[in-house]
Amino acid sequence: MPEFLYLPFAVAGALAVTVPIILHLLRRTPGNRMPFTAVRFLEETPPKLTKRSRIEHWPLLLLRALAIILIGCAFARPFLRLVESAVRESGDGSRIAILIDRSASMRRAGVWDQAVEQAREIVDDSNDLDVISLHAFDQLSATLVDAEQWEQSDSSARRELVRSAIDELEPSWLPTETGQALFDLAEQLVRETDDAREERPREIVLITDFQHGSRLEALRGSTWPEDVTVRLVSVKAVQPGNAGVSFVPQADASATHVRARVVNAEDSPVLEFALRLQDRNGAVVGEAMPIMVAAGQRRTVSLPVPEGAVPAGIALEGDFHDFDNLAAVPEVQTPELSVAHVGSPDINDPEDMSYYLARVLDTDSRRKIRLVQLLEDSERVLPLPADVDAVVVTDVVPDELLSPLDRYAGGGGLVFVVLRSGEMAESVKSLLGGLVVSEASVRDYAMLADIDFTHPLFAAFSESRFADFSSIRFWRHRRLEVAAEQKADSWKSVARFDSGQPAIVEHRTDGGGRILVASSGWHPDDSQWALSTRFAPLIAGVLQLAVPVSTEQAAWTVGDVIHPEKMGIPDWTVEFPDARRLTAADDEAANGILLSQPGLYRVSGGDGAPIALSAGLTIRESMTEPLPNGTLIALNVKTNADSAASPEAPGSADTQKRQLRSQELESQQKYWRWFLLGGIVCLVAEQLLAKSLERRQATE
Amino acid sequence: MSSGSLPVEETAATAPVSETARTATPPGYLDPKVVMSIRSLELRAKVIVEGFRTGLNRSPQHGFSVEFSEYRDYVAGDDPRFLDWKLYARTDRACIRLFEDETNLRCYLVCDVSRSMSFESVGYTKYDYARTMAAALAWLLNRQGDAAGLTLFDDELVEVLPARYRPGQLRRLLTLMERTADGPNTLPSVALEHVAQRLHRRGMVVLFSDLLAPPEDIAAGAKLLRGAGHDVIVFQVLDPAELELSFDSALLFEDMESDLRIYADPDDVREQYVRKMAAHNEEVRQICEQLGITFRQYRTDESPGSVLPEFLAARRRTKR
Repeated sequence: MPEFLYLPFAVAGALAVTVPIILHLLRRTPGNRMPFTAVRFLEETPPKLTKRSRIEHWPLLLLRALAIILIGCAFARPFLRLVESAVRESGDGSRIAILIDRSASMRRAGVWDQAVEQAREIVDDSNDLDVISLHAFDQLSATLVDAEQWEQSDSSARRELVRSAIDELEPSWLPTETGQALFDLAEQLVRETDDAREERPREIVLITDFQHGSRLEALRGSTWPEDVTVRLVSVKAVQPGNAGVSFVPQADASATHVRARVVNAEDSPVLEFALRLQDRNGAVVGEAMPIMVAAGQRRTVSLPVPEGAVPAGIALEGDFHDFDNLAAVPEVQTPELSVAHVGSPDINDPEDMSYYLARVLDTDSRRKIRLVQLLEDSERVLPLPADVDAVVVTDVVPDELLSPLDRYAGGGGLVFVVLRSGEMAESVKSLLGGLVVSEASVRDYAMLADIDFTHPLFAAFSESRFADFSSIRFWRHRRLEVAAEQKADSWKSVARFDSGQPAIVEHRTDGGGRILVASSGWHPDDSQWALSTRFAPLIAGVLQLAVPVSTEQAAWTVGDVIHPEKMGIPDWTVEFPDARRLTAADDEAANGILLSQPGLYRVSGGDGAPIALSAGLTIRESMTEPLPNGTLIALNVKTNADSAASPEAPGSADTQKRQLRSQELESQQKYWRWFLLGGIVCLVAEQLLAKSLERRQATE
Repeated sequence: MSSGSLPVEETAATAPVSETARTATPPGYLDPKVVMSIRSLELRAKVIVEGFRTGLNRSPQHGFSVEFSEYRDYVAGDDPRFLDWKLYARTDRACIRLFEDETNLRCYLVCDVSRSMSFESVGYTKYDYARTMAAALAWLLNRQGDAAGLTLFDDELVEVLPARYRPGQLRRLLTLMERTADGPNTLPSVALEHVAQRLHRRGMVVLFSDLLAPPEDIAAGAKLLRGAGHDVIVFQVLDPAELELSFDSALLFEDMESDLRIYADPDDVREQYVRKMAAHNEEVRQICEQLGITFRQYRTDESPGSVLPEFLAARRRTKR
């Protein structure tokens, strides 16, 4: 018995059949003509049905009625509701593979319980001839009970075997790769039953929330096996909608702000949320920030970090489903540096370079810098510490420091010499090897004009809005020339004044060290450098050359695989957020470490400090609105006609379920095309017959 | 009586003629279906005349014209002074003697041959019926020695035969009436005006038409004739279907003389149609009455023979 997707059209078609019938009855046939004399005494009578009305030309009427009925039925989209269990009743049984989605989105309230219940029902409803296997998938697929295990168990134990496996199953935190899981399982079924030469029907029962973030790309362009059907069992959350939060890494990490992204599902009824920072212990940090996100939209915001606070997580408040409401915040790296200074120890004299150097180093937010004054006073000279990361020379260097400095630079260290005078230049003559220093003649002032923005020292200024140094005026500077006996390329110019004379030059030592020489001091006597906004970044650039620090925040996604050995950490140990540990020796870690849960991971090993990584849920798992009906059919997956679109989820009616099934059936069968074709054929036949009758009457 | 005797109602000789007879064949007259089934118009006319004559005298051997011109049966309303008491004593039949000056009449028979006259629902057309009556009259007139002429018309003159009393006149007249009625339209005034011009001496004009024309047109022609002192008798010939709209199904009625077409269910429109037809006919009758014209409506399902006594009665009235 055919059913109709849009029954009103079928009803309209049936009612419309009365129109040609009435018209036929009302028809005034040409034969009923009467020549008469006193016609002017007559009044027109409108056509009406009377007991004398009769139908003529029955074949024409039937064709017209049939055309209307067929076209009406075509618009009504007929389909046949096949009974899937007819196959089972044939006595051969079915090969059923239960495929359960255990991705992170299945953690929503009510979803997992429904999935478990549905899986158990399938097992309970099976007959003794069925062969059932149990599989689960998220980013990866796994077989929990295979067909062989089922068949080897006796009939009483096999169902319990599967039920137990279902009960032990739990949702993961990983993303959903539905397409790949389906395709792999379908191919497995084909191989398995081909090998056994069995003819039983093969069915995959896919139990999933079928959310928008389910990746189905693997099904595109692939050929679905002809005799494998998919029965889609959609499970729904107790409450529609979902919002999720994720951490947004910044190219230039800041300790004062944290960026977060909030995504709100299309079917979400809630639009207003709040974001709050948490520390490592889960305690709230700072004030909540209200945020409004429309359904189907996402927003990225910047949360201020209270001073002194170290945020470890961002919590989303106001969303019912909390599985994706906490995002881990990676730690900002703040290495400790030791900078030796050869210059005036008086850091309170604003006329001296020490004053500005001390303050810049003290306010560097990315590093913890310890300034070591080597010239405590005019009498005492401290030795150069072995662990110093950089040396800044701003005054005459005592003789006892020359050799250490030379060795330091030759051993790979960085020495930044700021020539404030010819006397100072003379004292560091050995360091400057080959550079001839004299006082330059400056008319009014000089400006930096030719800067190598590819050099790491000035790379931060490479953007055009930062590249203008013409506002910094240099009243005095030294003239730097390479001695004739030196190689021309032994000193590289990094910046030049508008006169063409070098402002900053660099020499690389054989040991990989660097000697940077600035021909002008930054104190007010020499220039406006220390008073400009570019002084602090320049000093930071010098330190970055000395000790490179990554300013990017590393943020990983659950599902990513890391290889600690590639991070330069041998014999590593990875501590998971749940305190579980894996070492390089473990077999499980042979192919890398799968970040299988959200939170902070610590990778330790070797001599270096442990590396902290944070992993958050992929944003796709927060996109929980269900995919449209017919998605699988559109991907050429053969679906079962009796797919239960959704179990009795709270809030959905039986009629809606039935309608979803009906739509899927109809889109598969497409009988409407045949009805439309039939209607067109009837119309063509009606036209031909009408013309034939007309010709016949004309000849009569 | 001519050979090939035709069945005649036995009571025809004794039954009185009623001027108001409208329905089916009254006693003493020929069955219209029987008469109209005679193919020859001349023979039909003879039958009617003979039928009328046998109502006067049971002895046809005495000669038709003399007896006919002298006697006819007494009918209610006749002046008893003209009753032939001798004949009554002899035959027990009341007959009225006719005076000689009732003959030598110049009479024009004016027949409508428009298309509407070809309508029929009883097996023969109105024109066939009308010309039968006209033929009978012509026969009567000829036997009486009267001059009879013929004018056929539709919306113009179709045929004109001047009134004469001479050999062959009757045959010529009957021959002209053999044509079919297929004229485009009906305008009696055209014919009546023509006759008015032709008649220089006082005469009689007998009009046979369905009169389904504007009444004012009929009046215009009749006034001319009456104004000239001529006597006019109007015999309106209508088919029963025209009077009663006796159709049993909805039809597309197409006017026979115009392009008018109306789809009508007789059951729905009969009442108003009959009312309009009666009103039209009444208007025509009143026009005739006002002009002193004898008006008689004939249904084609009644005996055409009654035209003779009607004519004679009308003729007598004009003489008073």
